[in-house]
Amino acid sequence: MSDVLVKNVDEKLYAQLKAEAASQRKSVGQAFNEAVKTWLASRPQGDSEREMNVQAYVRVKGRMARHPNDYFVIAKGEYLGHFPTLKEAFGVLKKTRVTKALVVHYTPQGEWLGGALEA
Amino acid sequence: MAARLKLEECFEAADWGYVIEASLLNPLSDRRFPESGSAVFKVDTGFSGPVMVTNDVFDMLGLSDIEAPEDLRPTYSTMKGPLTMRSAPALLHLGGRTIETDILTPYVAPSRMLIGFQVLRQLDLALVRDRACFLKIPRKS
Repeated sequence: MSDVLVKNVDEKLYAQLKAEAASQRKSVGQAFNEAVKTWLASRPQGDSEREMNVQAYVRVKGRMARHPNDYFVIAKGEYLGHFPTLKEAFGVLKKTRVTKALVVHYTPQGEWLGGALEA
Repeated sequence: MAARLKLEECFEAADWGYVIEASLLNPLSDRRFPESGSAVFKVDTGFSGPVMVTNDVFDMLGLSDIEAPEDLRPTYSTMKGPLTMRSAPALLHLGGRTIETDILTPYVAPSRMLIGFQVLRQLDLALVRDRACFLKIPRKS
C-alpha cells in the first residue's frame, strides 16, 4: 500500500466519499481503491486493439524506409499494405469496417520558431 | 505577373495576426471539425510542421483512434526546448482544396489552432496588409 497526496480533489466529492466510506465502515483509502478499480474497469477496451496494431507496426516498420512517401496501413493487428495516398489507405480501411487503425508514414522532425508559440 | 493575380477569398483577424479558415476530416470515422462551416487557424510560417490543433479538437475528431505510435511522434525544436506532438493523418479542406496532411497536438504543452509551413507552401496564399488571401492563379493546362 502507498501513501499518496492527491491535489485538486473536489471538496464536495471528497466529503461524500468520506461519508459513504464511514457509513460502510471502510477507510477513505479502501473506498478510493474500490472507486478507482470500478473506474478502470469501465474504461473502453479499445486499447488492446491498438496494442495489437502497434505490435504489427513494430514488425513492419523496417520496411518504411524503403517507401518513405507511402502510408502503411495496419488494422486488427495485421499489416494491410502501403499506399501512396491517404485516400487509398483509408479506402482499404473502410472496407474492413474497423474503428481503430494505424496509418503511418515517415515523419520528419522540425522546428517552431517563436510566433504563435508565444501568443 | 502581379497584374494577373486575383484575390479570391480573404480573411482578417486584426488582433491575432494572419489567419485562414479551414475544416478538418477524420477519413476513418468521417468526423469533421467544425461540424459545419469552417474554423479559424493562425498562419504560422515559423512552424515547419503541417497543422496543429488543440487537444480537445484532436479528441473531438477521434484522431486518437488512428494516431501514430509513440516512436513516430514528431518533435519540434522550440525556443523553450524540444516539444513532442501526437500526430494523426487527416484531410484539411481550405480554399476550395483538400490536402492530405498530418494533424498534430502537443503531448504536454499549451496547444493552438495553426497551419504551418508544410501546408502553407502548398497554397496560393498572399499576405496583403492585414489580410491573408487565397489567390486565383490561372493554370496552364
